[in-house]
Amino acid sequence: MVFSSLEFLLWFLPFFLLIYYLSPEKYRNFCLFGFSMVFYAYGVLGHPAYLFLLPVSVGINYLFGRWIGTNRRRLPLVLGMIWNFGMLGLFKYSDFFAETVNMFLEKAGWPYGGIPLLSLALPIGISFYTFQAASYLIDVYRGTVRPENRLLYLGTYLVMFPKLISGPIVRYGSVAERLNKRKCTKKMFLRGLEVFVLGLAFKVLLANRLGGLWQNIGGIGYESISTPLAWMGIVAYSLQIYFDFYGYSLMAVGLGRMIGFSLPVNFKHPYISCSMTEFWRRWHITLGSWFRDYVYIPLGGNRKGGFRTVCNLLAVWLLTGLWHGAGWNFILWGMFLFAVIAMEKWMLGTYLNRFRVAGHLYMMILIPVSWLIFAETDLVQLGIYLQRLVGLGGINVYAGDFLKYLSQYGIFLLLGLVFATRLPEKLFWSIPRKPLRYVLLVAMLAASVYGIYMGMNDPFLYFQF
Amino acid sequence: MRDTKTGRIAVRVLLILLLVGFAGSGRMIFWKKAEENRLSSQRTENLPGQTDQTEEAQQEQMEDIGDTAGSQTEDTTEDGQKEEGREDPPQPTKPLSARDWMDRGAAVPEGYFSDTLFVGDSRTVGLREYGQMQGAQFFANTGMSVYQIYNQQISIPEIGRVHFLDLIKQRQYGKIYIMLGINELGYNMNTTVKKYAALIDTIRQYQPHAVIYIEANLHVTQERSNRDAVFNNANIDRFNGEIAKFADKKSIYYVDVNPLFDDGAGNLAAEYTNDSTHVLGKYYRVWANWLATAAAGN
Repeated sequence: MVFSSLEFLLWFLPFFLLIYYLSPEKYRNFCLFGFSMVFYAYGVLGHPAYLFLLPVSVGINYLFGRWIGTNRRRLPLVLGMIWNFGMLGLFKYSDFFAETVNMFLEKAGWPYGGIPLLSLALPIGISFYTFQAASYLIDVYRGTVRPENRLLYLGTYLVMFPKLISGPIVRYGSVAERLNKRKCTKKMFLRGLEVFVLGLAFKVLLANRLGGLWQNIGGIGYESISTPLAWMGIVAYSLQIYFDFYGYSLMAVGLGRMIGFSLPVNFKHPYISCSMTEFWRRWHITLGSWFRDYVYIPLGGNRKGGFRTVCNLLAVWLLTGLWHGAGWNFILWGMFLFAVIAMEKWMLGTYLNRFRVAGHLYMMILIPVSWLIFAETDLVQLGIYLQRLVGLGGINVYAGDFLKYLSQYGIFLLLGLVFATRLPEKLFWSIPRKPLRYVLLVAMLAASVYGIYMGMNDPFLYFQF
Repeated sequence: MRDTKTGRIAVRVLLILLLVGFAGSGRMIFWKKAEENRLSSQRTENLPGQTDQTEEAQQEQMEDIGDTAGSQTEDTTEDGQKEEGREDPPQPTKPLSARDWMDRGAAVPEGYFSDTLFVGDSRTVGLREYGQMQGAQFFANTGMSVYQIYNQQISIPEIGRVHFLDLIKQRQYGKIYIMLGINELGYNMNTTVKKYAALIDTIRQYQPHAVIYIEANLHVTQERSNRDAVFNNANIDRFNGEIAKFADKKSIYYVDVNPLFDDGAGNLAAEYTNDSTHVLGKYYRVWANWLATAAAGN
């Protein structure tokens, strides 16, 4: 159940908030944990075995946390990591690994068949809660947080539904205090609601609409799109993925605030960056800082000489690529980012920051191209699209296509570009609460619900031939 | 200082290694696809130009269509290369697929469509945009149906925005192609069929000399057909069967493009589409070529 669905907005959320605020304070964690499990159960409907996965994982991490806490030895930490990343590997990467090995075996003429594929469905949120569980165990080992003695608290931290399926990746230390005692004022609640509605509007009114263009381009086939349309397509996709993910993160932060948590900010207007390095300090911040604190710095960061720095960067970006998906294009994407960021670190960085305009131009090309590599899982298709970007490899191109799609999507592209800057949100939050801001918020909420109802969420429901 | 220098050198070496590695491994791991891609791009290069196609080539194509045995032999050799020593199962005679046409370079004959009007929904819009039919006119729009064809205004080059009746009153066409009916699947089928018949009569009234081609509605993919209660191939076939009856084989013909894009089980084959409903842009030219050659012989 995603936040931008009618069952969440009209059923789950009101029902949860009602029960949550009717329960006495000491039962609120229990309430949050219970509803989060319902949320999770709904998400893994059809895979009954997965129902046990999350509670078992909570239990195991609880035990490992306490074990690590008693002696701070390496063994329990290593075992805990094996459990967490083993599960992630099993569900997310085993088939990719098997397929790759099989491909090499086949190529080498191995006659006995390959490794059988498991074809497991991905349990929702596994990439996110695995990273949070790992951060908890490592922090306990490092002594930066105390091991949690109350199973319910740790469970609530790991599964709380506002951040369960799409982050942000929260550290235990940042919510431990609030788990123990939190007060939620009316002002906080309202602010949370506002943030939630803004995120919802970004997701439904911008991201979903922009998604239509990318879908159209897929329907035409990359060979037959004109070069202007090819660029328009990846710009639209870039805006779509941003408002989708940013919207979702805002909704998570808003929901958290509504129940008294303050979840970390995940995006700080990444598209105004002048370099890829800056971009990744503004995009999915909680993931970037996870890799910094648990991979890059433990490996030595940039303190062990140039060569080691390059290797460490390579490790971080390879893993970042793989975290986003099990596929060669994600590895290629990670390597692309590594190449760009390494280049900036030693060659371009100072120029890009000195000449901001050049930096923006440079990013205007690199951002859409990097998202193209991210979006297209088929490397042959990716090659065709890249050719279309420079005007090669066209078959049966309809030269006027971009005008047609500009008239359909131009307004959303423009809105997307404007809302990717800092100004609109600054203006929005500076509007005094009464009554204009409330009118705007109610309008955005109504438009979003209407949009979901009309099936904008799923373009195929709204399909015409 | 030393660190920065080693860093710079290291980054360059690594970048080069990465590039080489990617070129190599990409080639190796995806060798099959790369091979396919290479072959298909070669085919594209061999395509005769669309406009300067000779009559000979056209005739060859016409012969190819009848010559299914020829295509079978080719299939057999391809299979034989892959799995040597295995008996090939006897293959039923089947019409050429769009892929075969593509390989033969489906160019649209020049001038064939210059007296032609196409009427239809988004599939016909696709033909307009990607079919490369010089001179043809299109009264087509996404969502077009027999219920609203008289109410809509469509913009047509050199004419401007017109209603359907005004368009067919002002110019005589040689050929009129109609593909309508899929948007109407949610309505009562009898009513739709009556409306369709009335549309044919109306066209005939204002276009006494035009040859009317009733086009079967294109199937959707099996995946979509299975999950869609309305827009599925059973309904499409039922409707196609009804409109096929209007053909008199003298001046009204029924043409069915589905075998061209078929998966062997009466569905739009997944390889020709990304949205389970429309063929990819590159295949509309095959479709147009088919209309001008194979379908013209009906």
